[in-house]
Amino acid sequence: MDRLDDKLQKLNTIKRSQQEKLHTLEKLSNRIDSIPTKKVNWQVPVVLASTVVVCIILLLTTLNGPLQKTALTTATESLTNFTSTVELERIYYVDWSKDVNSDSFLARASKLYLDMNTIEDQQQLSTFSNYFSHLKEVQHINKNELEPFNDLILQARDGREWHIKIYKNPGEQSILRDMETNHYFEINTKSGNFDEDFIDLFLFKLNMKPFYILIMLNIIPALMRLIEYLVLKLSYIPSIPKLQRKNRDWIIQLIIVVVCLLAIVSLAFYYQPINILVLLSILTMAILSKFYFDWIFIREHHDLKVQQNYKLYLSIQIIIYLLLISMLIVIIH
Amino acid sequence: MQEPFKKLYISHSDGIYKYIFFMVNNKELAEDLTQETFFKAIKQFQTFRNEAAVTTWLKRIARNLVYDHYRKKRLIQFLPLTHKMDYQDDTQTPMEVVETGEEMVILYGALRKLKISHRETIVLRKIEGLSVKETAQFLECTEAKVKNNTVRAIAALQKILQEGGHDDGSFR
Repeated sequence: MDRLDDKLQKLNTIKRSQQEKLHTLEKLSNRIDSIPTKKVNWQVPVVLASTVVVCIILLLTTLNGPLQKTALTTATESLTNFTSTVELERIYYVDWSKDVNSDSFLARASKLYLDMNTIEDQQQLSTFSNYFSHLKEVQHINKNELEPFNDLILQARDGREWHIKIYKNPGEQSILRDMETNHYFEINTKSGNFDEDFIDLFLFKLNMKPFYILIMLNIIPALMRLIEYLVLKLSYIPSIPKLQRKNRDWIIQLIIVVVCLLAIVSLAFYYQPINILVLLSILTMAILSKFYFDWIFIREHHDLKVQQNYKLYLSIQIIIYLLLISMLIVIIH
Repeated sequence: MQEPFKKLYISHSDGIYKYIFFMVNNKELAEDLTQETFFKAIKQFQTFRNEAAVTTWLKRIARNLVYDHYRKKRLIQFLPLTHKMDYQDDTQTPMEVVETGEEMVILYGALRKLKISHRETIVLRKIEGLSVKETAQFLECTEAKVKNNTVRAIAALQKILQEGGHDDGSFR
């Protein structure tokens, strides 16, 4: 064994040709001197991602055109003006029935009613029209005992609107608050079915969107990982060694992971449009920054043959990502 | 090229070259990959954080390139239309090895037949003379694994030598 060890060690004494060493140095110097001084701009993926997110928001806004409501439009009226002759065109309601608070109004102020749902069923509209025309103002009310339940915007065919916040305590009659005048009302005893009708109206829709979105959020990274694994396995594309990654993109990755986790946790507990937008932005930024850095890396470090394989690989990933985003938009819509 | 980088190349390139040479068994390719190693190192010098010695850092870059080279070779085999010849190893033993004696040529030939992980262990442990700890640090694995791999690699090397008819005891 010692003899073999000695002989192996002797192999280390082979001499490298000095001529070739200097020749390599010369070639290296030429390459170094020809490096462009322009540095990779790591802000590019952020700007790119922001642009995509803005486009997505614009798309959602366009798709949601008929649902677009601006906060406190000029046509908002006092609830006392609501009569049985008012023909309701639609009712908008906020989707998080159990957690209505000041945030819902912030969401309205953002003018992005991604979470607003509509009731356009003629029979239901006439029923509610009837309910809201039999209101009785409550003069003395203990605000601390009120439990917020839902926000509504009633829109009549003639363009007039009424903004209402509903408070509901278990076993007690619902209280309506006119957001325009800040007066409180209760439903006339004759229309005692209001609570049941109102709850039944959208109970079946509850948690459907968060459910789908949470599934999508699990599918997107899982599918990406699977494709990455399969493509790398099948085509032998050189993976990008962590050692050689640069441009401090790990800072972006870290921020993305932290914010993404916070957004997912937040979404799991409290479904809110802003959470979806944050998630969408984070996902876009994560994926685009990955594409960007990977592409820059291979362009600088690999030959054309490998680059072609990478182009194909990245293109497939981008297409899948866009498809998933489209699905997400459809679900949100 | 700046003077400090030139010094870096002059002082470290021989060691890097030897490591690559024993890993790829091709003189020209070893020169090319050595050049690539230093090119990358110089370009990424700002990322060097002094956590490891410069030699280790350079050798890690070289190692990535060697493994990339082998992955590329597998890709070439996967795509039959490309020129496989460009990626084949030298069939002739380089003069530098021949000059060290006949036994070294035989040993070099046997080394070439080892699988890459065994070859790397022998290059690091036996040829370069790194300790178990240093090898484990470089390969980012446990010392037990290095010891295990060394025993297996030596056994595989001896088996190749025996199969080649060099069983006269001179390689024991």
